[in-house]
Amino acid sequence: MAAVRHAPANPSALLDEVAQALVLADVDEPATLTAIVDAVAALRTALGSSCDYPAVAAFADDADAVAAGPRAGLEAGLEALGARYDALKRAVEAAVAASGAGSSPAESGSERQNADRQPAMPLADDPELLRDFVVRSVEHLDTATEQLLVLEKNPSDAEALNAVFRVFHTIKGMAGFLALTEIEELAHGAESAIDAPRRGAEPLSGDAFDAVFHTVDEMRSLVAAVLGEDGSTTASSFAGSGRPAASVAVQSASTPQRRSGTNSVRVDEERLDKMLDMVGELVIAESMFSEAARSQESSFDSLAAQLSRLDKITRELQEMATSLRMVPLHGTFVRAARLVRDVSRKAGKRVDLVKYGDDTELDKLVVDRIYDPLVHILRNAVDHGIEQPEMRRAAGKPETGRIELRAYHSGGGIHIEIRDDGAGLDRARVLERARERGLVGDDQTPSEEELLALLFEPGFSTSDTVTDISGRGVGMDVVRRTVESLRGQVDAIVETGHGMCISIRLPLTLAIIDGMVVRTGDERYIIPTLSIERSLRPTAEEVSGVLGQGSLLQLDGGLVPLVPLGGLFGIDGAEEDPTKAIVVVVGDNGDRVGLVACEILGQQQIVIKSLGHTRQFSGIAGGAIMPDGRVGLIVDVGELVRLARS
Amino acid sequence: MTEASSTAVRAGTDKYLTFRLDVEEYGVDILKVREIVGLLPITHVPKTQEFIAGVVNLRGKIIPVLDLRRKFGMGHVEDTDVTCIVVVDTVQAGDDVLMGLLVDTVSEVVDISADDIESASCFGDALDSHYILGLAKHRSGVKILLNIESVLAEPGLLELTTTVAEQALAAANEEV
Repeated sequence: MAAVRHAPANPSALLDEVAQALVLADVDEPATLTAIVDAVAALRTALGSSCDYPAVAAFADDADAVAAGPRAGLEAGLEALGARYDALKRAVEAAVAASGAGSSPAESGSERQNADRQPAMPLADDPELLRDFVVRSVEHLDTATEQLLVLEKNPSDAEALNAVFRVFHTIKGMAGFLALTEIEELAHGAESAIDAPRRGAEPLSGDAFDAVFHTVDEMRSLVAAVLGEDGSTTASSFAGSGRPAASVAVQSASTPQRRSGTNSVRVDEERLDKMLDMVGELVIAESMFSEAARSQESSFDSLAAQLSRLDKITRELQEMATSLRMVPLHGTFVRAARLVRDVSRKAGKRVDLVKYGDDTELDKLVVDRIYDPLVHILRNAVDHGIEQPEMRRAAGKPETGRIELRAYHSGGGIHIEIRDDGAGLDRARVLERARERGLVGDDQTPSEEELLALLFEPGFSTSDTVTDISGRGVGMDVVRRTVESLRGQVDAIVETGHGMCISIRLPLTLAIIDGMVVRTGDERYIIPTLSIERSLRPTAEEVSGVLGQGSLLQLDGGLVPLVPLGGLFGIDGAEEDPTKAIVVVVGDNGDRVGLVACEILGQQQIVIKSLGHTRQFSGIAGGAIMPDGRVGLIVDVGELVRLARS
Repeated sequence: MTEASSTAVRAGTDKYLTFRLDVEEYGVDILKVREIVGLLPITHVPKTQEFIAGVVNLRGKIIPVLDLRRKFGMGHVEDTDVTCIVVVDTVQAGDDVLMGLLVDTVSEVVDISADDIESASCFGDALDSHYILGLAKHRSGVKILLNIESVLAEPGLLELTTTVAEQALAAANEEV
C-alpha cells in the first residue's frame, strides 16, 4: 500500500487505504487479505499507541483473525469486517478531530471539501485507477450476466446467487471508492434486490430478473462512459474544479458510446513472459549469427545451422505476437446467452442455450465484430427456428427448445456453429419467395446448395410478419457480408423438422495469410492459398475460345472462365496462352475462375499491409513485403471472380 | 492570389528543400518532408493513374510513390544514381498521409524569406498555378515552391483507402 510507505502517514488517508483494501479483498487471493491487515496496522501506528481506540484495536484483531482464519469462514469474516468499518471510521474521525492535526471529518469520498489542508488523495482523477475500474467492472458485469442466467434457470442455486451478489457488492465498493456515485447507487439497488432471496425469502420472479438485467445494462453503459473516447479519462479534466467525478459519468452517459472506452487487450502474464524470453533468445541467436559471420573459420554449414535457429525463433515470436491479440469468445457468448433469454421471453418461447468452447480464442477485432452476425443468427433461430411450446409438443419434441452455440478450432481456422432444434427450413416456402422476388425463374429448380444460398440474399425473408425481433430480411445478407469482410465464410445446413445449423468459418488472424506467389511478366502477385482450388497447365483440347473475346476451361465437367492476369493488369510480356502458362483455379462463393499466370514461384506466409493512401484498385486487396524487400501485391480473388462473371 | 498561397506566404523566413526536375528547381516546405531515400525498387500497381509510379517498402511500411515528372507532364527519363524519393508527410482530410515523390535529384535546403516569394498568379492563365505556392528568388536561381497538399489532393489520387471489406462492413453497420 502506497500510503504505508509514505511518511508521515495521515490517518484519514490510511482510513481510505483500509477501505480500499476491504473493497479489493478477494477470498481467493491471500495477498489482498494481508493488505487489509497491513493497512489497519499502519492506521494504528499513525494514530499513536498512546491513545487507546477500542474500535480500531477490535478491527485490527478481527482483520488478523480473518486473514489467518480458515478459508471457509473468509467470506462471512469479510462481511463482518465491512460492517465494522463504519465504527472504525467514526473512531478515526473522532481521533483526528481530537488531535486537531488531521482534516475535517470526511463524510464520504465524494463530499470531501477543499478545507482539507493536506493534499486530498486524487483517487477519483487517477486515470490508472479509473481504467482499472472499467476493465474490472466490465469483467464483473460479464460474470453477473452469466451467473444471473444460471440463476434464472435454477433459482435455488445459492452459489450463483452469491456470485451475483459479490459482483454488485464489489462494483459498489469500487465505484464508491472512486466517487462514481451513480454507479454505486445502481449497484446498491441491484444488491438489495437480490439480497432478499439470499436471506431465504422468495426466489426472484421473472420480472425481477428483467429489472436486474436492466440494471446491469445501465451499469455497463455508465461504466463505459467513465473513460472518454480516446481512452483518456474524462474525469481528469475536472481535477481542479472540485466537482464530484460522478457528474462526469452522468454527463458522458447522456451521449451514449457503444464502444467500450478502452482499446486495450488484457494479456496473460505468462504469454508476455514467454514472449520476452523469446526476444531474449532472438537477441542471442542474432549475436551468435553475426559473430559466426565475422569469424573466418566458420563454414557455410555452421552458418546455415545458425540461420535455421534464427528462423525458428522468428516464427515462434511471430506466433506469440499474434497470440497477444487473441481473446476468448467467452464474453461474446455470455452476451449472446443474455440475448437469447430476452428474445425468447419476448416471443413467449422456452429456449435453452448451450455453449461449447467459449474459451476458444480469436483475434480481438474478429471477436468484436462477430457479435452482430451472431445476434442476427440467434434472433432468427429463436424467432423462426424454435416453435411455440404447443407446436413442439405436437411434434413430439420437448417443449423447451435447444440452441447450441459452439466454437472450435479446425483446419487452421475457427468455426462457430449455431444449431437449433426447431422446425428447420420450409424449402417450398423459400422457393416460393424466391420466385416471387424473381431470384429464381418459374421453370428452374435450384439445387439444395443454391436454395440455401438464397437465404443470404439481401432482403430475403420467409417470415410473413415483421416482428420486432426479426423478419425484415436484413439479417442474413448482413451476416454474410460481415463474415466475408473478416475473410470468413458462412454456410447453412438444414434438416427439415430437425432444425437448422449456421456455420461460420473464420481465419485465425486477419494479419497473416498463406499465399501462393505467381509471376506474370516481370511482376509478382500473391494469391491467398485459401481460395485456391487447384492449379494446372491445361491441354489445348480443354481450352475453348468464346467469340474471340475470352476463353473457357473445361474442368470436372464444368466450364471455368479464364482470366489472364497479365492482360487484366496491363502487364507487358505476359504469357497469355494457357497451354503454355499455368492456370490457378480460384473459387469464391461457389463461383470459379481460372487465373492465367506465367509460373508459380512458391508459397509463403504473407503479412498483409495496406497500400497506403492511394485509390483502392479493384482486383488488388493489399500489399505485402516480399523476402527480397520489394512490395508484392495481393490479388483480391472475390473481386476478380465477380469481374469475370459479370 | 489564391487562398492556399496567401496562407503560406507569411512574414519571416522558411526553410525549403529544393530538388530538380528536368532543368527546373522546385521547393517544398521542409516541415512537410519526412525523409529522403535513394531509389527503392518500385512495384507497379495496375490500373492506377499513370503518374503513380507504384508502391515501395519503406522499412516495412508500404507507401505510394508519385512520379512528379509525369504529374507535371514532363518527358520520362531513365533512373540515375541520384534519382531520389522524397517522403512527404501531409495531412489530407484529417488523416496523416505518407507519400513518396520521385524526383531527378535533391539539391539543397535553402532559406527563403517571405519577401522573396512572388505569387505565381502574375503569370495569368499561361501557368497552371494550382500546384504552386509562389516563385522564390534565390541567389542560386528561381525556385518553384510547390503547394504539396494540392499536388497530392488531386481527385482520385488520395481518396481514402477503403477496402472492399471495409465498405461491406460499413454498409452492414448502416443496415443494422
